[in-house]
Amino acid sequence: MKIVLLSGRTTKQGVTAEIGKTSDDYLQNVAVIQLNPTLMEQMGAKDGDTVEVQTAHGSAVVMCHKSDIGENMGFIPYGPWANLLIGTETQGTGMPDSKGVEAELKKTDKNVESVDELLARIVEGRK
Amino acid sequence: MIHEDVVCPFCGCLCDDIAVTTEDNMITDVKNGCAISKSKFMNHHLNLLESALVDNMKVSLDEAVGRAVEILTNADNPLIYGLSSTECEAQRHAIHLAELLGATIDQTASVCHGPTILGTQDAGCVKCTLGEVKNRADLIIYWGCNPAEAHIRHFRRYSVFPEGLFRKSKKEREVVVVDVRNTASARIATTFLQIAPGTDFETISLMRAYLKGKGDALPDEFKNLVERMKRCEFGIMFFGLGLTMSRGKHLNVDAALRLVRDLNEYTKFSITPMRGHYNVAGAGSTMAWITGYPFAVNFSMGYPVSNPGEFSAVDVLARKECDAALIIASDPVANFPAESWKHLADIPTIVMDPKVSLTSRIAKVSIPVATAGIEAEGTAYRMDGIPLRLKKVVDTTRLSDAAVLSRMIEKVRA
Ligand code: SF4
Repeated sequence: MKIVLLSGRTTKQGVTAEIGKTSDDYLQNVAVIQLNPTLMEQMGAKDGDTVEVQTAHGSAVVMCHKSDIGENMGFIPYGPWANLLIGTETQGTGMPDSKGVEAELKKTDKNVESVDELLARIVEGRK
Repeated sequence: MIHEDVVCPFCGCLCDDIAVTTEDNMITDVKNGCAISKSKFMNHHLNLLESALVDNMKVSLDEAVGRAVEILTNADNPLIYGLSSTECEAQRHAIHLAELLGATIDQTASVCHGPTILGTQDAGCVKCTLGEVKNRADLIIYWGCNPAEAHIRHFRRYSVFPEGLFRKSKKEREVVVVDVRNTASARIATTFLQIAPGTDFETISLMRAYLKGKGDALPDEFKNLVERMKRCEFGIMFFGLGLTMSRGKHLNVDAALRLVRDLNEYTKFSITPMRGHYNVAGAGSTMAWITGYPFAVNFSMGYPVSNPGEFSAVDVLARKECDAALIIASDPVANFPAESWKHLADIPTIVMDPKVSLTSRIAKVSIPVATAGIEAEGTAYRMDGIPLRLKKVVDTTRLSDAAVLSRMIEKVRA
Protein backbone atom coordinates (compact mmCIF):
# COMPACT_ATOMS: atom_id res chain seq x y z
CA MET A 1 0.00 0.00 0.00
CA LYS A 2 1.57 3.32 -1.03
CA ILE A 3 1.11 6.37 1.19
CA VAL A 4 2.53 9.84 1.74
CA LEU A 5 4.04 10.06 5.19
CA LEU A 6 3.41 13.07 7.42
CA SER A 7 4.86 13.72 10.84
CA GLY A 8 4.08 16.26 13.52
CA ARG A 9 3.41 16.98 17.13
CA THR A 10 0.65 15.48 19.21
CA THR A 11 -0.36 16.42 22.73
CA LYS A 12 0.29 12.88 23.97
CA GLN A 13 3.73 12.89 22.42
CA GLY A 14 4.53 16.13 24.27
CA VAL A 15 3.09 14.91 27.55
CA THR A 16 4.83 11.52 27.49
CA ALA A 17 8.19 12.89 26.29
CA GLU A 18 8.20 14.98 29.48
CA ILE A 19 7.73 11.80 31.52
CA GLY A 20 10.67 10.25 29.72
CA LYS A 21 11.52 9.07 26.22
CA THR A 22 12.46 5.64 27.51
CA SER A 23 9.02 5.23 29.16
CA ASP A 24 6.41 2.81 27.88
CA ASP A 25 3.91 5.69 27.73
CA TYR A 26 6.13 7.41 25.17
CA LEU A 27 6.41 4.28 23.04
CA GLN A 28 2.64 3.70 23.15
CA ASN A 29 1.99 7.23 21.91
CA VAL A 30 4.85 7.84 19.51
CA ALA A 31 5.52 4.46 17.85
CA VAL A 32 2.17 4.79 16.09
CA ILE A 33 0.78 5.67 12.69
CA GLN A 34 -2.61 7.26 12.13
CA LEU A 35 -4.37 5.86 9.09
CA ASN A 36 -7.67 6.21 7.31
CA PRO A 37 -10.12 3.43 8.36
CA THR A 38 -10.78 2.47 4.71
CA LEU A 39 -7.08 1.97 4.10
CA MET A 40 -6.80 -0.10 7.27
CA GLU A 41 -9.71 -2.25 6.13
CA GLN A 42 -8.06 -2.82 2.75
CA MET A 43 -4.92 -3.94 4.55
CA GLY A 44 -6.89 -6.13 6.93
CA ALA A 45 -5.50 -4.24 9.91
CA LYS A 46 -7.41 -3.44 13.09
CA ASP A 47 -6.79 -0.60 15.52
CA GLY A 48 -3.66 -1.47 17.51
CA ASP A 49 -2.25 -3.96 14.97
CA THR A 50 1.34 -3.49 13.91
CA VAL A 51 2.29 -2.34 10.44
CA GLU A 52 5.67 -2.04 8.78
CA VAL A 53 6.42 1.25 7.09
CA GLN A 54 9.19 1.27 4.51
CA THR A 55 10.71 4.27 2.76
CA ALA A 56 13.82 4.77 0.65
CA HIS A 57 15.64 5.60 3.89
CA GLY A 58 14.62 2.86 6.30
CA SER A 59 11.79 0.97 7.91
CA ALA A 60 9.85 1.07 11.17
CA VAL A 61 7.28 -1.16 12.81
CA VAL A 62 4.54 0.88 14.50
CA MET A 63 1.01 0.40 15.79
CA CYS A 64 -1.78 1.69 13.58
CA HIS A 65 -4.69 3.77 14.78
CA LYS A 66 -7.79 4.96 12.95
CA SER A 67 -8.06 8.65 12.22
CA ASP A 68 -9.89 10.88 9.75
CA ILE A 69 -6.73 11.49 7.75
CA GLY A 70 -6.86 11.18 3.94
CA GLU A 71 -6.78 7.69 2.42
CA ASN A 72 -3.38 8.13 0.80
CA MET A 73 -1.65 9.43 3.91
CA GLY A 74 -0.18 8.26 7.19
CA PHE A 75 0.74 10.40 10.19
CA ILE A 76 3.51 9.47 12.67
CA PRO A 77 4.27 11.74 15.65
CA TYR A 78 7.79 13.20 15.82
CA GLY A 79 10.21 10.85 17.53
CA PRO A 80 12.77 8.15 16.83
CA TRP A 81 10.35 5.89 14.93
CA ALA A 82 9.40 8.64 12.46
CA ASN A 83 13.09 9.41 12.09
CA LEU A 84 13.87 5.87 10.95
CA LEU A 85 11.97 6.76 7.80
CA ILE A 86 13.51 10.04 6.69
CA GLY A 87 16.85 10.74 5.03
CA THR A 88 19.63 13.19 5.81
CA GLU A 89 19.54 15.11 2.51
CA THR A 90 18.67 18.75 3.24
CA GLN A 91 19.12 20.37 -0.20
CA GLY A 92 21.45 22.90 1.37
CA THR A 93 18.93 24.13 3.97
CA GLY A 94 19.85 22.10 7.06
CA MET A 95 16.31 20.69 7.12
CA PRO A 96 15.69 17.07 6.11
CA ASP A 97 12.49 16.17 4.20
CA SER A 98 10.48 15.36 7.31
CA LYS A 99 7.04 15.65 5.76
CA GLY A 100 5.73 14.28 2.50
CA VAL A 101 7.98 11.21 2.17
CA GLU A 102 6.59 8.35 0.06
CA ALA A 103 6.21 5.10 1.96
CA GLU A 104 5.09 1.52 1.46
CA LEU A 105 2.85 0.07 4.12
CA LYS A 106 2.10 -3.54 5.02
CA LYS A 107 0.59 -5.43 7.91
CA THR A 108 3.12 -7.37 9.94
CA ASP A 109 3.42 -9.75 12.88
CA LYS A 110 6.63 -8.07 14.01
CA ASN A 111 6.63 -6.23 17.32
CA VAL A 112 7.29 -2.54 17.76
CA GLU A 113 10.95 -2.09 18.62
CA SER A 114 11.65 -0.47 21.99
CA VAL A 115 13.93 2.54 22.21
CA ASP A 116 16.76 0.25 23.33
CA GLU A 117 16.19 -2.14 20.44
CA LEU A 118 16.17 0.77 18.00
CA LEU A 119 19.40 2.15 19.37
CA ALA A 120 20.96 -1.32 19.32
CA ARG A 121 19.94 -1.83 15.69
CA ILE A 122 21.17 1.53 14.42
CA VAL A 123 24.25 2.17 16.51
CA GLU A 124 25.22 -1.38 17.53
CA GLY A 125 28.94 -1.96 17.90
CA ARG A 126 29.65 1.73 17.41
CA LYS A 127 29.51 3.15 20.88
CA MET B 1 4.01 28.20 48.52
CA ILE B 2 2.35 29.42 45.34
CA HIS B 3 4.52 30.98 42.64
CA GLU B 4 2.34 33.23 40.48
CA ASP B 5 2.93 34.31 36.88
CA VAL B 6 5.52 31.66 36.18
CA VAL B 7 6.58 31.39 32.53
CA CYS B 8 6.03 27.91 31.08
CA PRO B 9 9.30 26.56 29.66
CA PHE B 10 7.87 24.24 27.03
CA CYS B 11 6.63 25.80 23.79
CA GLY B 12 7.03 29.08 21.94
CA CYS B 13 3.78 30.46 23.42
CA LEU B 14 5.78 31.03 26.60
CA CYS B 15 2.55 31.45 28.63
CA ASP B 16 3.43 33.70 31.57
CA ASP B 17 0.43 33.09 33.80
CA ILE B 18 1.24 29.68 35.27
CA ALA B 19 0.67 29.23 39.02
CA VAL B 20 3.00 26.62 40.48
CA THR B 21 2.51 25.32 44.01
CA THR B 22 5.54 23.92 45.82
CA GLU B 23 5.81 22.08 49.13
CA ASP B 24 9.15 20.98 50.61
CA ASN B 25 10.89 21.87 47.36
CA MET B 26 8.54 19.63 45.33
CA ILE B 27 6.02 20.86 42.77
CA THR B 28 2.62 19.70 43.98
CA ASP B 29 0.24 21.57 41.68
CA VAL B 30 0.21 23.51 38.42
CA LYS B 31 -2.64 25.82 37.46
CA ASN B 32 -3.42 27.45 34.09
CA GLY B 33 -0.88 25.35 32.17
CA CYS B 34 -1.98 23.02 29.36
CA ALA B 35 -1.55 19.23 29.59
CA ILE B 36 2.03 19.38 28.29
CA SER B 37 2.99 22.20 30.65
CA LYS B 38 1.57 20.26 33.61
CA SER B 39 3.50 17.19 32.52
CA LYS B 40 6.72 19.20 32.25
CA PHE B 41 6.41 20.78 35.70
CA MET B 42 5.02 17.75 37.53
CA ASN B 43 7.40 15.22 35.98
CA HIS B 44 10.56 17.32 35.86
CA HIS B 45 12.11 15.10 38.57
CA LEU B 46 11.44 11.80 36.74
CA ASN B 47 14.00 9.98 34.59
CA LEU B 48 16.73 12.34 35.67
CA LEU B 49 20.36 11.86 34.82
CA GLU B 50 21.25 10.85 38.37
CA SER B 51 24.95 11.50 38.14
CA ALA B 52 27.64 12.70 35.81
CA LEU B 53 28.80 9.79 33.65
CA VAL B 54 31.88 9.03 31.59
CA ASP B 55 31.65 5.78 29.61
CA ASN B 56 28.57 4.94 31.70
CA MET B 57 30.61 5.07 34.93
CA LYS B 58 29.57 7.52 37.64
CA VAL B 59 32.08 10.32 38.10
CA SER B 60 32.11 13.68 39.85
CA LEU B 61 30.82 16.72 37.98
CA ASP B 62 34.34 18.12 37.87
CA GLU B 63 35.71 14.98 36.28
CA ALA B 64 32.94 14.95 33.68
CA VAL B 65 33.49 18.61 32.83
CA GLY B 66 37.25 17.99 32.67
CA ARG B 67 36.78 15.02 30.33
CA ALA B 68 34.37 17.01 28.17
CA VAL B 69 36.85 19.86 27.81
CA GLU B 70 39.64 17.42 26.99
CA ILE B 71 37.50 15.88 24.23
CA LEU B 72 36.47 19.25 22.83
CA THR B 73 39.94 20.81 22.85
CA ASN B 74 41.50 17.71 21.27
CA ALA B 75 38.94 17.64 18.47
CA ASP B 76 39.71 19.22 15.10
CA ASN B 77 36.15 20.10 14.28
CA PRO B 78 33.80 19.87 17.27
CA LEU B 79 30.06 20.44 16.87
CA ILE B 80 27.98 22.25 19.49
CA TYR B 81 24.28 21.72 18.99
CA GLY B 82 20.94 22.28 20.74
CA LEU B 83 20.26 25.45 22.78
CA SER B 84 16.54 25.93 22.20
CA SER B 85 15.37 24.43 25.51
CA THR B 86 17.61 26.49 27.71
CA GLU B 87 17.88 30.18 28.53
CA CYS B 88 19.77 32.94 26.73
CA GLU B 89 22.66 33.21 29.21
CA ALA B 90 23.54 29.55 28.57
CA GLN B 91 23.20 30.14 24.83
CA ARG B 92 25.61 33.05 25.08
CA HIS B 93 28.18 30.88 26.88
CA ALA B 94 27.76 28.07 24.34
CA ILE B 95 28.54 30.50 21.51
CA HIS B 96 31.55 31.82 23.39
CA LEU B 97 32.77 28.24 23.88
CA ALA B 98 32.32 27.56 20.16
CA GLU B 99 34.39 30.62 19.35
CA LEU B 100 37.21 29.55 21.68
CA LEU B 101 37.19 26.03 20.22
CA GLY B 102 36.88 27.08 16.59
CA ALA B 103 33.79 24.86 16.56
CA THR B 104 30.65 24.60 14.46
CA ILE B 105 27.57 25.69 16.40
CA ASP B 106 23.99 25.08 15.36
CA GLN B 107 20.67 25.30 17.14
CA THR B 108 17.49 23.29 16.74
CA ALA B 109 15.90 25.81 14.38
CA SER B 110 17.86 24.07 11.66
CA VAL B 111 15.36 21.18 11.90
CA CYS B 112 12.23 23.28 12.57
CA HIS B 113 12.04 26.90 11.44
CA GLY B 114 15.51 27.14 9.84
CA PRO B 115 13.80 27.50 6.44
CA THR B 116 11.73 30.34 7.98
CA ILE B 117 14.95 32.15 8.83
CA LEU B 118 16.22 31.59 5.26
CA GLY B 119 12.92 32.82 3.82
CA THR B 120 13.00 35.88 6.09
CA GLN B 121 16.56 36.73 5.08
CA ASP B 122 15.31 36.71 1.52
CA ALA B 123 11.92 38.38 1.73
CA GLY B 124 11.73 40.20 5.08
CA CYS B 125 8.87 39.69 7.49
CA VAL B 126 5.93 41.87 8.46
CA LYS B 127 5.80 41.28 12.19
CA CYS B 128 3.59 42.09 15.13
CA THR B 129 3.29 40.90 18.73
CA LEU B 130 0.83 38.32 19.99
CA GLY B 131 -0.67 41.15 22.09
CA GLU B 132 -1.55 43.03 18.90
CA VAL B 133 -3.13 39.86 17.49
CA LYS B 134 -5.24 39.41 20.60
CA ASN B 135 -6.40 43.03 20.62
CA ARG B 136 -6.85 43.66 16.92
CA ALA B 137 -6.90 40.68 14.58
CA ASP B 138 -10.22 39.96 12.88
CA LEU B 139 -8.86 37.40 10.41
CA ILE B 140 -6.58 34.67 11.75
CA ILE B 141 -5.06 32.13 9.41
CA TYR B 142 -3.20 29.04 10.62
CA TRP B 143 -1.27 27.46 7.76
CA GLY B 144 0.46 24.10 8.14
CA CYS B 145 0.34 24.07 11.91
CA ASN B 146 -1.75 22.36 14.56
CA PRO B 147 -1.81 24.49 17.70
CA ALA B 148 -4.56 22.35 19.23
CA GLU B 149 -1.87 19.70 19.79
CA ALA B 150 1.42 21.61 19.68
CA HIS B 151 0.72 25.10 21.08
CA ILE B 152 -2.32 24.21 23.09
CA ARG B 153 -3.13 27.59 24.65
CA HIS B 154 -2.39 29.65 21.55
CA PHE B 155 -6.09 29.92 20.59
CA ARG B 156 -7.16 30.77 24.11
CA ARG B 157 -4.48 33.28 25.04
CA TYR B 158 -3.52 35.03 21.84
CA SER B 159 -5.83 34.57 18.90
CA VAL B 160 -9.29 32.99 18.74
CA PHE B 161 -10.91 33.21 22.16
CA PRO B 162 -9.39 35.94 24.36
CA GLU B 163 -11.11 39.19 25.23
CA GLY B 164 -8.99 41.80 23.45
CA LEU B 165 -9.27 45.57 23.30
CA PHE B 166 -11.10 45.70 19.95
CA ARG B 167 -12.10 42.02 19.46
CA LYS B 168 -14.01 40.60 22.34
CA SER B 169 -14.55 36.95 21.46
CA LYS B 170 -14.46 34.32 18.74
CA LYS B 171 -17.65 35.84 17.27
CA GLU B 172 -15.67 38.91 16.20
CA ARG B 173 -12.92 36.92 14.54
CA GLU B 174 -12.72 34.72 11.50
CA VAL B 175 -10.44 31.72 11.82
CA VAL B 176 -9.11 29.86 8.78
CA VAL B 177 -7.02 26.69 8.91
CA VAL B 178 -5.15 25.49 5.82
CA ASP B 179 -3.61 22.04 6.15
CA VAL B 180 -3.02 18.74 4.39
CA ARG B 181 -5.03 16.89 7.01
CA ASN B 182 -8.13 17.52 9.03
CA THR B 183 -6.55 18.29 12.40
CA ALA B 184 -7.99 19.11 15.81
CA SER B 185 -7.20 22.75 14.97
CA ALA B 186 -9.23 22.54 11.75
CA ARG B 187 -12.28 21.70 13.84
CA ILE B 188 -11.99 25.02 15.71
CA ALA B 189 -11.76 27.04 12.50
CA THR B 190 -14.65 28.84 10.82
CA THR B 191 -13.19 27.72 7.49
CA PHE B 192 -10.97 24.70 6.84
CA LEU B 193 -9.23 24.48 3.48
CA GLN B 194 -7.48 21.22 2.67
CA ILE B 195 -4.60 21.08 0.21
CA ALA B 196 -2.59 18.15 -1.14
CA PRO B 197 0.79 17.48 0.51
CA GLY B 198 3.60 19.39 -1.19
CA THR B 199 1.36 22.01 -2.84
CA ASP B 200 1.85 24.89 -0.39
CA PHE B 201 4.20 26.78 -2.68
CA GLU B 202 1.95 26.69 -5.71
CA THR B 203 -1.15 27.55 -3.68
CA ILE B 204 0.46 30.55 -1.99
CA SER B 205 2.10 31.71 -5.22
CA LEU B 206 -1.23 31.53 -7.03
CA MET B 207 -2.84 33.50 -4.21
CA ARG B 208 -0.19 36.14 -4.72
CA ALA B 209 -0.77 36.14 -8.46
CA TYR B 210 -4.52 36.46 -7.90
CA LEU B 211 -3.89 39.41 -5.60
CA LYS B 212 -2.11 41.02 -8.57
CA GLY B 213 -4.99 40.16 -10.88
CA LYS B 214 -3.43 37.12 -12.57
CA GLY B 215 -4.32 33.98 -10.62
CA ASP B 216 -7.13 32.46 -12.72
CA ALA B 217 -5.95 28.95 -11.91
CA LEU B 218 -6.49 29.51 -8.19
CA PRO B 219 -9.37 27.37 -6.82
CA ASP B 220 -12.46 29.40 -5.91
CA GLU B 221 -12.27 28.81 -2.18
CA PHE B 222 -8.79 30.32 -2.16
CA LYS B 223 -9.91 33.26 -4.35
CA ASN B 224 -12.53 33.83 -1.73
CA LEU B 225 -9.88 33.65 1.00
CA VAL B 226 -7.71 36.25 -0.74
CA GLU B 227 -10.73 38.56 -0.99
CA ARG B 228 -11.35 38.16 2.72
CA MET B 229 -7.67 38.80 3.44
CA LYS B 230 -7.87 42.06 1.48
CA ARG B 231 -11.04 43.12 3.27
CA CYS B 232 -10.10 42.39 6.88
CA GLU B 233 -9.00 45.18 9.22
CA PHE B 234 -6.08 43.36 10.80
CA GLY B 235 -5.00 39.98 9.46
CA ILE B 236 -2.46 37.54 10.81
CA MET B 237 -1.02 34.38 9.30
CA PHE B 238 0.52 31.87 11.69
CA PHE B 239 2.46 29.10 10.00
CA GLY B 240 4.19 25.96 11.13
CA LEU B 241 6.37 23.10 10.02
CA GLY B 242 3.85 22.23 7.32
CA LEU B 243 5.63 24.89 5.30
CA THR B 244 9.20 24.41 6.51
CA MET B 245 9.44 20.62 6.44
CA SER B 246 7.63 19.97 3.16
CA ARG B 247 8.99 20.12 -0.35
CA GLY B 248 9.99 23.69 -1.13
CA LYS B 249 10.92 24.47 2.50
CA HIS B 250 12.27 28.05 2.60
CA LEU B 251 10.63 28.78 -0.75
CA ASN B 252 7.23 27.99 0.79
CA VAL B 253 7.96 30.44 3.59
CA ASP B 254 9.35 32.98 1.17
CA ALA B 255 6.09 32.86 -0.81
CA ALA B 256 4.00 33.29 2.35
CA LEU B 257 6.11 36.23 3.56
CA ARG B 258 5.76 37.95 0.19
CA LEU B 259 2.01 37.32 0.05
CA VAL B 260 1.63 38.98 3.44
CA ARG B 261 3.87 41.87 2.43
CA ASP B 262 1.76 42.43 -0.70
CA LEU B 263 -1.46 42.34 1.32
CA ASN B 264 -0.26 45.44 3.16
CA GLU B 265 -1.12 47.43 0.06
CA TYR B 266 -4.75 46.75 1.01
CA THR B 267 -4.83 46.37 4.78
CA LYS B 268 -2.73 45.61 7.84
CA PHE B 269 -1.48 42.01 7.66
CA SER B 270 1.26 40.29 9.65
CA ILE B 271 2.86 36.87 9.78
CA THR B 272 4.36 34.87 12.67
CA PRO B 273 6.04 31.45 12.70
CA MET B 274 4.73 29.05 15.36
CA ARG B 275 8.06 28.46 17.06
CA GLY B 276 8.22 25.09 18.80
CA HIS B 277 10.74 24.88 21.62
CA TYR B 278 10.21 27.58 24.21
CA ASN B 279 13.46 29.44 23.56
CA VAL B 280 14.27 28.56 19.97
CA ALA B 281 13.47 32.16 19.06
CA GLY B 282 15.99 33.20 21.73
CA ALA B 283 18.62 30.83 20.33
CA GLY B 284 18.29 32.58 16.94
CA SER B 285 18.36 36.05 18.49
CA THR B 286 21.32 35.29 20.76
CA MET B 287 23.32 33.73 17.93
CA ALA B 288 22.44 36.63 15.64
CA TRP B 289 23.46 39.37 18.07
CA ILE B 290 26.74 37.67 18.91
CA THR B 291 27.83 36.14 15.61
CA GLY B 292 25.72 37.97 13.06
CA TYR B 293 23.99 34.72 12.04
CA PRO B 294 21.04 32.91 13.61
CA PHE B 295 22.12 29.28 12.99
CA ALA B 296 24.65 26.99 11.27
CA VAL B 297 27.76 28.95 12.23
CA ASN B 298 31.40 27.84 12.02
CA PHE B 299 34.33 29.44 13.86
CA SER B 300 37.21 27.44 12.36
CA MET B 301 38.55 30.52 10.55
CA GLY B 302 38.64 32.44 13.83
CA TYR B 303 35.59 34.47 12.84
CA PRO B 304 31.98 33.41 12.34
CA VAL B 305 30.91 32.04 8.96
CA SER B 306 27.36 30.78 8.38
CA ASN B 307 26.19 28.39 5.72
CA PRO B 308 23.07 26.25 6.23
CA GLY B 309 23.56 22.94 4.44
CA GLU B 310 27.26 23.10 5.27
CA PHE B 311 27.36 23.97 8.97
CA SER B 312 23.87 22.75 9.95
CA ALA B 313 23.99 19.80 12.34
CA VAL B 314 22.20 17.16 10.24
CA ASP B 315 24.55 17.82 7.32
CA VAL B 316 27.68 17.93 9.47
CA LEU B 317 26.72 14.55 10.98
CA ALA B 318 25.64 12.99 7.69
CA ARG B 319 28.96 13.93 6.11
CA LYS B 320 30.81 12.79 9.25
CA GLU B 321 32.63 16.12 9.44
CA CYS B 322 32.70 16.61 13.19
CA ASP B 323 34.98 14.57 15.44
CA ALA B 324 33.30 15.43 18.76
CA ALA B 325 29.90 16.81 19.73
CA LEU B 326 28.51 18.78 22.66
CA ILE B 327 24.73 18.53 22.84
CA ILE B 328 23.02 21.11 25.06
CA ALA B 329 19.33 20.91 26.01
CA SER B 330 18.36 18.89 22.97
CA ASP B 331 17.96 15.29 21.88
CA PRO B 332 19.14 14.79 18.30
CA VAL B 333 18.81 11.01 18.50
CA ALA B 334 15.07 11.47 19.03
CA ASN B 335 14.78 14.25 16.46
CA PHE B 336 17.28 13.66 13.65
CA PRO B 337 17.09 11.15 10.80
CA ALA B 338 18.35 7.77 12.06
CA GLU B 339 21.36 7.79 9.73
CA SER B 340 22.83 10.74 11.62
CA TRP B 341 22.65 8.90 14.98
CA LYS B 342 25.46 6.66 13.76
CA HIS B 343 28.06 9.38 13.63
CA LEU B 344 27.02 10.69 17.05
CA ALA B 345 27.72 7.19 18.38
CA ASP B 346 31.04 6.94 16.50
CA ILE B 347 32.51 10.15 17.92
CA PRO B 348 32.82 11.18 21.57
CA THR B 349 29.49 12.87 22.28
CA ILE B 350 28.91 14.97 25.39
CA VAL B 351 25.36 15.58 26.57
CA MET B 352 24.19 18.27 28.99
CA ASP B 353 20.62 17.53 30.01
CA PRO B 354 18.52 17.33 33.17
CA LYS B 355 17.03 14.03 31.98
CA VAL B 356 18.08 10.77 30.43
CA SER B 357 17.61 11.32 26.72
CA LEU B 358 18.09 9.04 23.74
CA THR B 359 21.26 10.98 22.95
CA SER B 360 22.56 10.53 26.51
CA ARG B 361 22.10 6.78 25.97
CA ILE B 362 24.78 6.81 23.30
CA ALA B 363 26.95 9.58 24.79
CA LYS B 364 30.47 9.21 26.13
CA VAL B 365 30.01 11.96 28.72
CA SER B 366 26.70 12.92 30.35
CA ILE B 367 26.43 15.99 32.55
CA PRO B 368 23.25 16.50 34.58
CA VAL B 369 22.08 20.11 34.79
CA ALA B 370 19.25 22.10 36.37
CA THR B 371 16.04 22.42 34.33
CA ALA B 372 15.90 26.00 33.06
CA GLY B 373 12.61 27.67 33.93
CA ILE B 374 11.97 25.32 36.86
CA GLU B 375 15.27 24.97 38.72
CA ALA B 376 17.17 27.86 37.13
CA GLU B 377 16.11 31.32 36.00
CA GLY B 378 16.98 33.10 32.79
CA THR B 379 15.55 34.83 29.75
CA ALA B 380 13.59 33.26 26.90
CA TYR B 381 12.07 34.74 23.73
CA ARG B 382 8.45 34.10 22.80
CA MET B 383 7.57 33.14 19.21
CA ASP B 384 6.90 36.81 18.40
CA GLY B 385 10.32 37.86 19.70
CA ILE B 386 9.20 39.18 23.11
CA PRO B 387 11.73 38.32 25.86
CA LEU B 388 10.30 37.04 29.14
CA ARG B 389 11.97 36.10 32.41
CA LEU B 390 11.93 32.43 33.39
CA LYS B 391 11.61 31.76 37.10
CA LYS B 392 13.18 29.29 39.45
CA VAL B 393 10.50 27.56 41.52
CA VAL B 394 12.47 24.74 43.19
CA ASP B 395 16.05 24.50 44.39
CA THR B 396 18.56 21.97 43.16
CA THR B 397 22.18 21.13 43.79
CA ARG B 398 22.70 20.74 40.05
CA LEU B 399 24.38 23.58 38.22
CA SER B 400 22.55 25.46 35.48
CA ASP B 401 23.55 25.06 31.83
CA ALA B 402 25.13 28.51 32.02
CA ALA B 403 27.22 27.57 35.09
CA VAL B 404 28.47 24.31 33.53
CA LEU B 405 29.34 26.08 30.29
CA SER B 406 31.23 28.84 32.07
CA ARG B 407 33.25 26.16 33.91
CA MET B 408 34.09 24.65 30.53
CA ILE B 409 35.13 28.04 29.22
CA GLU B 410 37.39 28.59 32.25
CA LYS B 411 39.05 25.22 31.69
CA VAL B 412 39.52 25.79 27.96
CA ARG B 413 41.19 29.11 28.74
CA ALA B 414 43.35 27.74 31.57
S1 SF4 C 1 0.74 26.46 25.38
FE1 SF4 C 1 2.95 26.09 25.47
S2 SF4 C 1 3.77 27.69 26.81
FE2 SF4 C 1 1.54 27.64 27.12
S3 SF4 C 1 1.23 26.28 28.86
FE3 SF4 C 1 1.10 24.97 27.03
S4 SF4 C 1 3.17 24.21 26.67
FE4 SF4 C 1 3.33 25.92 28.10
